Amino acid sequence: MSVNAQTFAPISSGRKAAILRSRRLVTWLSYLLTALLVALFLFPWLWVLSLGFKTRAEIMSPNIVWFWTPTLNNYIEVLINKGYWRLIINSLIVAVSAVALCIIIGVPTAYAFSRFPIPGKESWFYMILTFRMAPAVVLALPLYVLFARAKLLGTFGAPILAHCTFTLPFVIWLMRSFFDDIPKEIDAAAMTDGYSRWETFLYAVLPLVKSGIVAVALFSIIFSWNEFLYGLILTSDATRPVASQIPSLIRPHGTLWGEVCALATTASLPVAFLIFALQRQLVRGLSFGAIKG
Amino acid sequence: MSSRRYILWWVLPAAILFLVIILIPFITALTFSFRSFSFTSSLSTGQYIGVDNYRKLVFDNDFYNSFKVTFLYLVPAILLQGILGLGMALLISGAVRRARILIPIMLLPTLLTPVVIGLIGVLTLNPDFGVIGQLLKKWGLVQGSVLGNASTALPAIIAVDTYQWTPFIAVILTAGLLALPKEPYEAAQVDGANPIQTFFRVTMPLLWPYFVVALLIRVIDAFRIFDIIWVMTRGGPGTATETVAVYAYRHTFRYWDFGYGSALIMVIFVFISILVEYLYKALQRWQAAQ
Repeated sequence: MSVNAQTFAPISSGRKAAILRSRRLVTWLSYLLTALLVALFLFPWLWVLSLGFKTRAEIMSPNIVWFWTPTLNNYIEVLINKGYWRLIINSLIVAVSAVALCIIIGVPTAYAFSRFPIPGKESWFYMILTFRMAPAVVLALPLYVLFARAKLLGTFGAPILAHCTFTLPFVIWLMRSFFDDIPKEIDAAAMTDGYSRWETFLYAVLPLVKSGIVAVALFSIIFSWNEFLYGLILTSDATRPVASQIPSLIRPHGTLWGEVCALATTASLPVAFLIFALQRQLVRGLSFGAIKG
Repeated sequence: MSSRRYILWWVLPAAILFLVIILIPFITALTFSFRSFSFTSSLSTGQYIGVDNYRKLVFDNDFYNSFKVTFLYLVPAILLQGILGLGMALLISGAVRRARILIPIMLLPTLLTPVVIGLIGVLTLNPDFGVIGQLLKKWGLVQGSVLGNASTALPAIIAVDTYQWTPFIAVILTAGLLALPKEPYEAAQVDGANPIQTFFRVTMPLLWPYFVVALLIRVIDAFRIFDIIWVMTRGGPGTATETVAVYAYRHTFRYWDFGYGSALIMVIFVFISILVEYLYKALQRWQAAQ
């Protein structure tokens, strides 16, 4: 930007040029610092990635091994021999189903909270936030009893419904603030045009919060992907998500570090890909009007 | 049009889902909390013992300790993540404008699940072969193991948690910064405001809603913290890192004391509901004052 300003500046007095030069310097300095900061936060991640390609001796060496011949043994052992690649599919099934269900159910609810005079509205809203804040430990046992009675244990229904306990409140909470930012006049205009309330919601308001929905869905998928306890307690080997299976690599004779790192980096790929693919929507969604508390 | 029955249709699916996955489990836990379960009895039975579990809880020092630990973790962690996240967002937003790809890159630490981040913390802090643990031992900063020491275990957990979630806050704030209107800045420039004045008078008030939402997401999730602590210290040494969730886990799933665990659940629920209402109202007042 400063480059353009300089090119098109009519008659740049000496002082003006100096200001522009220093401004450009600041810009480049901030880029340099940004690069350093990104490297700082990326380094541990890259380090985890590198451990996945090392042998046990190289990982446990008191001195960091900077140069080594990469081995695929950890990946082959954990993904193929142990068959854990299926757990990544399980994570996908659980996260995508739970988030889809909560978006379909939660978005109309959020709209209702934003637009309708619900009696005791704020109290209900606090209650929903309370649900979100409840530690998984708190609900895990009662949910276990419930799912056991409903014969849902060992099916994907159990972890999917359990993940809704924290996903649905999140969706309702954030989507409500998105709807609050859309002027009510838009609804009114659509309804004078003869739209019903439902049509107004579907065709006039929903398109305006599209990128907001993408952002909320992406965050929900991250939370669901990272969830640990429900996935451990409420599932069988066939339905367990990948995060919950990682402690099985902590063995009495020592943690299988290489396999943990190989599994963890592979497991983060699907979500990373989603975020890369939807980054434009994510940024627009997050900056939409102003998401409010 | 917007009669009560009509509104009901909009919220009915969510209400039914909450009823099944929150209210029914909650009532189950409530009935459990008045009962005692032994190893031999099945889940459905158990013996009615009145309010004994709650009486036991009132005199349980570990219970109060778990609340103290939760806040000793939560407050510094959120402050640290908020400040670092803001600094990071201010720094990177200029570059993000040109290279949007930085956003997904920044989120990579958040995508390693907390269990893994915790395990990596254990590996890095190991005094014998961990990268950081060795240094701390060599410089004599920590006696023995970082995680085995009551005074350094919690800071280590906070550090690991901060590594994972600072970028998350930074991403929300960066999105906010990119969406800020230009006019107030031009006005500030005309008024001859210096960069510091501009930051506090223009940027911060405009960014505030984003800040509130990012911090609220973190506070709400920080109260649930379990997995990082479970893999790093299991609540130890002693009860030095035993948060509310870890404490409840110990009683419910290690001692299989469902009755006492359920009484804990009830108290935690009541506490959170008060906390949420207070927090939310305080934030709204705060926001209105800005």
